[in-house]
Amino acid sequence: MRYITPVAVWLYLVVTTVGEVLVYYSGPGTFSVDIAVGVIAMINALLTALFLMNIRKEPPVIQYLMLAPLALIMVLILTMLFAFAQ
Amino acid sequence: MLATSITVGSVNILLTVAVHRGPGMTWRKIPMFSWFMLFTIIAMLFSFPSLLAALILLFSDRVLGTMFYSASAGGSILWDDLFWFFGHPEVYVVLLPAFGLIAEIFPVFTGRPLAEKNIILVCTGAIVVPLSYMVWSHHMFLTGITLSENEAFSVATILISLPFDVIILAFIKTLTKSTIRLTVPMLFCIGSVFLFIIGGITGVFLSSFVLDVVYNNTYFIVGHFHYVMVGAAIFGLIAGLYYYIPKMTGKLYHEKMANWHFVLSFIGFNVLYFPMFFLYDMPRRIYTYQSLPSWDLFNLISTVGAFVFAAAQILLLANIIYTLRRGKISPPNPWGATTLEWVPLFTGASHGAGYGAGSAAGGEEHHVGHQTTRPIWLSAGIAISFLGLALLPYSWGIGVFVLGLAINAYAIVGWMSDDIHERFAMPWGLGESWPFSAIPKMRLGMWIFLSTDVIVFGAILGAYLYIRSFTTVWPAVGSIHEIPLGLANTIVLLTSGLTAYLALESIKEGNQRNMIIWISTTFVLGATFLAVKGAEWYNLYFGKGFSWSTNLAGSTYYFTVGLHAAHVTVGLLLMAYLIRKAMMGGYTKENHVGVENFALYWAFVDIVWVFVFPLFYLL
Repeated sequence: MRYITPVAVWLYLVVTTVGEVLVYYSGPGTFSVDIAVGVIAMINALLTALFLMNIRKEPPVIQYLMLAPLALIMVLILTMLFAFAQ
Repeated sequence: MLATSITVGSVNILLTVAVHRGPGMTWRKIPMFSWFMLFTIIAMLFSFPSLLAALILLFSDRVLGTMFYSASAGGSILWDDLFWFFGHPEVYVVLLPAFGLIAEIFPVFTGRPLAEKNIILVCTGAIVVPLSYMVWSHHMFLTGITLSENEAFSVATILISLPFDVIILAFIKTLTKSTIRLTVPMLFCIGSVFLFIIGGITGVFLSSFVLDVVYNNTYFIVGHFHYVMVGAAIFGLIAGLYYYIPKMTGKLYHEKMANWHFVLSFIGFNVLYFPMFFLYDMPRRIYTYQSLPSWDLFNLISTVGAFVFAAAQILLLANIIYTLRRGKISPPNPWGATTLEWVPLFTGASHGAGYGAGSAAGGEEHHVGHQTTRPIWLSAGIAISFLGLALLPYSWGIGVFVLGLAINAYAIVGWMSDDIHERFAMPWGLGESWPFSAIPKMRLGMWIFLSTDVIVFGAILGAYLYIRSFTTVWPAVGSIHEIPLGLANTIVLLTSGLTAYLALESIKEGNQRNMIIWISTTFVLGATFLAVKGAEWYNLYFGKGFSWSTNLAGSTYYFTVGLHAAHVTVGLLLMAYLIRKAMMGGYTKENHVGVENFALYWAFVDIVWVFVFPLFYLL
């Protein structure tokens, strides 16, 4: 019973990864599929960080330590992506 | 390699400040110089990984024939973004140590405490994160990026000048109503603040993208840049040098020569760089210039200033030699300073300027028991292997690379073996260490490392997204990669994440047998992932003729997946080490930080793949 959470998270990750592929086959290359796959990937990454890295149990300073570069890199990526957007 | 070493060094220094302070040295008591160094390290921590990403992409283009920076994919802007995301925070990496020294020196020679110390710290923190990372595009105002981006970065650049204003005003407030002793360190400090004000004001001009149209790529920029990076930074560092020479050598410098050094440096510097503000219409980065009446005079003045400034530095060199050879013996506290490093007990101690009894008294014996040459071998091995990579275009380059790898293997295996035999056992847990008190230092180190790896992978995935958004022709999804195979391999890696977690939970319960079983399972799954990846690459390269130099899709795929595979390989090595150490009874319920660190690392490798798989196989 103690391992039910990590096993459930793992199962969720596997199922949603299969789901990503199925979503892709439903309409490859379309914008909505790209968004859906992206959202699934982000949720999966978040779950892995929360439950397999156990970041939720770390002190706030560690959580900020990981959030800060994420926020900074998002600024970089968005700036690059919208550099020439009209 | 430099960027890697700086990143790892940052982790080391940050950890030292966080958990290795002497007894009683609480955060509130940390000297200002150490605070500024801490901020410097934080600036380095998140900026150098971006440079690392930019450089390995460049290296890959030059040596392996990938095409990240090709013009057709807007490569110059990609380079600009990755480089300046590092480059602007790096300005503060150079500047903040000088400010830290000024904050140490001003109170000593004014006889009053540093004004608004807490506000200075808050402002410096705000400068480092997030502001220093939100202004880099002001170096790219004229590259054709959108008006809205120009406006946003213009505002952010003006915004970052505000905390600097507060810091400078606090420095000036410290000077007011005080009895200033104009010693040489103090003169250089005042000079540094004065020059920074000029550099800062001209920087505000440049934050406006409208004015940047006029000033861009002219000598106005050169003047501004040098007032900040040479004037403010170097004058501050020289102040620190004079201030600590008695501490470092136990001798006094030649006062008159040092005074002349300041006078000539200050005059020479201003004569050299101030005329450049009048050369706002003369392009920089040219080896010669057209003879124009409006340019000739200022260039002549600058040249005279350059000679004066350079000659002044000879005085510094001469003074250092004089001090070492013939300098008078310094009293223990020549400045009458009240900070701990000047407490007479520690002057001339072999350990240098230690702060507090813990660092000085514990000095020598602290290092006994973990002396090793392994890091030197590893450094040499890494240097040689990278040299080999750079020489790959030559037939013998591969030999140099393999030699480097062999030295690395020797160093790593030996280092791990030493560790297994507990040769590095060190006491820890000295002093108050909030907010890190609940985290073992090794785990904290791993978290810090992972936070830098977020930037490396983020920058590389960002580069991929940028290239995808810029490139109109891209292979159809599914035409290159075997999606079912990629999916199966992803499940293998995700499963290994679970088994790594179970290994950690097992050892937390003291069950070493289960821990070995789970970590071995993780090893097998990780090796399977790599093997499948290898087979996939073989098929792509030899079967489909799809290589890293075929097109941008090939470059981005091989590079990103290869970098991830390198991380998996490191994970496999770590697991081999963990298994061996566990079999010798090296991990217990109480002592399992190695397994904990590995589990963190492996989960991070999983997270990266969670993004890499859909990006490269499905989108």
